[in-house]
Amino acid sequence: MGGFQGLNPSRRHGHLGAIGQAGLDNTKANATARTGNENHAISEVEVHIGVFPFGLTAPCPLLSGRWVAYRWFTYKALERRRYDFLARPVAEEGQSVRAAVKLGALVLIGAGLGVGSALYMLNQGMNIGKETVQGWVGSHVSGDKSADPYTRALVARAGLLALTQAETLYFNRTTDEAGKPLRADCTYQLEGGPQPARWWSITIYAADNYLPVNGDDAQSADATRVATFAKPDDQGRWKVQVSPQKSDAVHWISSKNAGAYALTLRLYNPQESARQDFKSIAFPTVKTVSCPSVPA
Amino acid sequence: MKSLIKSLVIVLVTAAVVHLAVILSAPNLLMAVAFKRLSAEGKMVNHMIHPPRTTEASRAIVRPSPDLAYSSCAYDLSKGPVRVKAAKATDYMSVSVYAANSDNIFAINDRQAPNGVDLVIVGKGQAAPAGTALVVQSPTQRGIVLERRLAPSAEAFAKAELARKQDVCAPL
Repeated sequence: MGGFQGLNPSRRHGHLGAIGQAGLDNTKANATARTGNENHAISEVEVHIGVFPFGLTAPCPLLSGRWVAYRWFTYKALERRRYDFLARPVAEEGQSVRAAVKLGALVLIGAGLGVGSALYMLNQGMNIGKETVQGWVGSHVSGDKSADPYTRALVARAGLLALTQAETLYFNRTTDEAGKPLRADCTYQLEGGPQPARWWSITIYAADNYLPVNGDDAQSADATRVATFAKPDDQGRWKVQVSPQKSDAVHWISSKNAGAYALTLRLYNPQESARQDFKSIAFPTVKTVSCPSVPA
Repeated sequence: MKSLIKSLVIVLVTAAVVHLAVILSAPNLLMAVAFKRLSAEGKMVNHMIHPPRTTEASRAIVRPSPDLAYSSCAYDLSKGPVRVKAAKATDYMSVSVYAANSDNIFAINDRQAPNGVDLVIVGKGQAAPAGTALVVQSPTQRGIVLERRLAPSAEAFAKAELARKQDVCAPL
């Protein structure tokens, strides 16, 4: 059997398509079965011949065990070759189709991982390369031509058509003063003083980077309305309430349907000092007033 | 084992290439989407459009400010330079030009242009017409001009609306 294994077509071809595999398995099984028997038979003949009277091999080569064995091997080899000749294209076609399918699957998985990780970066990596001051996250590079590919992609995702630093500074925050994520169902007090800019505004954005859809038409506070409605004291300090329902607050931003929202502070035509050093900015604070207990 | 490593390498290399391709092409792709939206699917190219006041239904641009009146012009320089005019404003106003790769290639505000903005955008290899005071060289044929006017109240918006009616965005 050993000799046959070496020539076994299915061994040589390794991975085969379903059709090729089945066909060759059949032959293999037959060959193995027959080989076993013949090997046995041959050795028996040899033994017989070996003990032929007068110690001679058979006078006629037709009766010689070696000749029978030779014929058998030749026949099998020819048959195998003939079979190989017929089977090879099938086998290789199956093999290449299978390899192509496998490669395609691997490339698909890779592409999926690539797109997924890139989208993850674009959606979750908002704070990469940013500077956080008192909970407000700002970037020194947004709208900058020299920004790295990730910052450029992030800005394009969440701040497409944004202005340059000279024109506007953008700051974003998603937590209260204690560092807890802002919740649509909580009430917060937004408090601040004059900002180092020509004009400023604070706007609420839902997780999808658009204004929350709630029909309240209360999405922002800005320098002009704060001066009119929020009744700043003589130091120019003002208060704005951020909550899902309007209470008796004089100036209100609605967080209804806002989900995991963000507050964005815009400083238009900021002072040079503010641009250079975010830490010099007297940022508004966001204090939690009340929060319903988290539903179980 | 060997084929497992080979498979892993194929997956990781593909993932890395696709990841980088998405990151690198994101600004261009997102700009292309914005261009489509701001040009009414390509029908309003080289034309200043003045959308109504930003509301919670506004979805043309991410993170719109409800306190600004935005006007925009999706420009295409394939047939020559484009002229942009923005009427003067009494409060904050700015005009910014963005190339197709999302770069903010130019910005000017009402303090720098107290009498309003008048500029010409030229493409690569295009000559600026004689006598043009303000020329913006765009590295890409297409891009977006965005104008912002401060309008935190309905009254302020009405005022901005009146002023921006005189704005221009048209081929020379």
